[in-house]
Amino acid sequence: MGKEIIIVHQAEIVRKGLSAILEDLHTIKVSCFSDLHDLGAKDYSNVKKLMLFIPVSCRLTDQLLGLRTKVGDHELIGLMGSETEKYDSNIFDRVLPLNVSAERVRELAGHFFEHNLQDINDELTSREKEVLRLIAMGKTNKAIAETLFISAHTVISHRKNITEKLGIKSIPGLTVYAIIQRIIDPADISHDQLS
Amino acid sequence: MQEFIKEDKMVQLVQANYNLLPVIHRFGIRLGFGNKAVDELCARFGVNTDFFLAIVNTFHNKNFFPKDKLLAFSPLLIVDYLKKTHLYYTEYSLPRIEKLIHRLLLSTPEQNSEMKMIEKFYLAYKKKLLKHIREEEEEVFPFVEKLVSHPDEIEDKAFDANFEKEHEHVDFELDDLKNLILKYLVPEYDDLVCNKLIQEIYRFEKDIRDHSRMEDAILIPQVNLLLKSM
Repeated sequence: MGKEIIIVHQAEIVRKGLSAILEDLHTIKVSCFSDLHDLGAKDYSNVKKLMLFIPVSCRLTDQLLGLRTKVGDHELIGLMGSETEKYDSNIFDRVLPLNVSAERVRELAGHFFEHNLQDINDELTSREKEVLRLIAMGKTNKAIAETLFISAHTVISHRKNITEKLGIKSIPGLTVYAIIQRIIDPADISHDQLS
Repeated sequence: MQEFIKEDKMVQLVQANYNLLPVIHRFGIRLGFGNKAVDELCARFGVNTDFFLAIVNTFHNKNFFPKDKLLAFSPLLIVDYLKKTHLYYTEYSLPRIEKLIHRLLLSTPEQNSEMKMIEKFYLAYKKKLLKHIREEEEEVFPFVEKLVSHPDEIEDKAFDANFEKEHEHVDFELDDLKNLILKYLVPEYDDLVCNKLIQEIYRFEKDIRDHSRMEDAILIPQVNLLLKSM
């Protein structure tokens, strides 16, 4: 759940074509819009993973930028009509020419959302990962609460859930887990834990 | 579960549970048992048979813990046994696990440097455990020995002997080590080394739990009792 693909393109054949190609990915909801402005009213609070296709020529609206911050795990794909089109390569995670093969599109989406499956199995929520990262940095419950603007009680409950999910209880153990899972860089950990 | 008695043949103990062999060795009893009974061999090696059986049975069966019986033994016997288990950990278990972890990590892909953190974790754990062992060897055990042999020389009766928390901590970390390896090791590794390592960790875990229980439930209450009666 929480997986969505949004296709924004002025050409109906592109919208319909892409959504037909991506239909095979059963559990993923695909919605199409002809204009970026139509995206605005949508509620994205339940979307965990989002793949967004928009023309590279699109002027990025505030709505779109807001959307990107709302959905942590997303891939923004620019659709390029012709090779002469100019675009800002920093904005897009990937740019595809419109003559891309259907197979390639399916492969990309499959890969992206398969990652999502791992995320669901992957035991921690993104909030828990944040808490874990701060634990590995050697922060106290109080400091973690202040950093994340949550109560110390909530921090404790996150810690409890983390330990339950991972079966790892000690702070050094959690720190090693965070490094193995690349939740934190080894350079950022509190070193007295592992010395 | 079976409880061994002094008439049992010593060899039957090992046949029933080969993990008892290190425990038997700790008492200084050597192989070449023949068909000799437990009490006969204990006598030959100068070991208190009742104490030997209490320890062996406790080790063999985790639900068997004759607290009153154990509390009745001299704290000196307990301390002596605990020292021998310490020696087994420092001379055998800990270096062996360290070596196996190192070999296991050498068998994983080089680019997976995160795996090295498991070794680092173990070394930090080992350091803490050694510190704890040293504290017991240098402070707790001499104190107990003095308390039994020369109670008049004891000046400071305030004895902070609550190791339960520390034991719990050490216990947690060993459990974490297991989980880190079992759940998060990369799939490319040497299975034989891994099998051996896991076996060794589980064996060590069982041994040290037994050891901690002996300290928390027997030695410390004995000390407190002795202090009270002074």
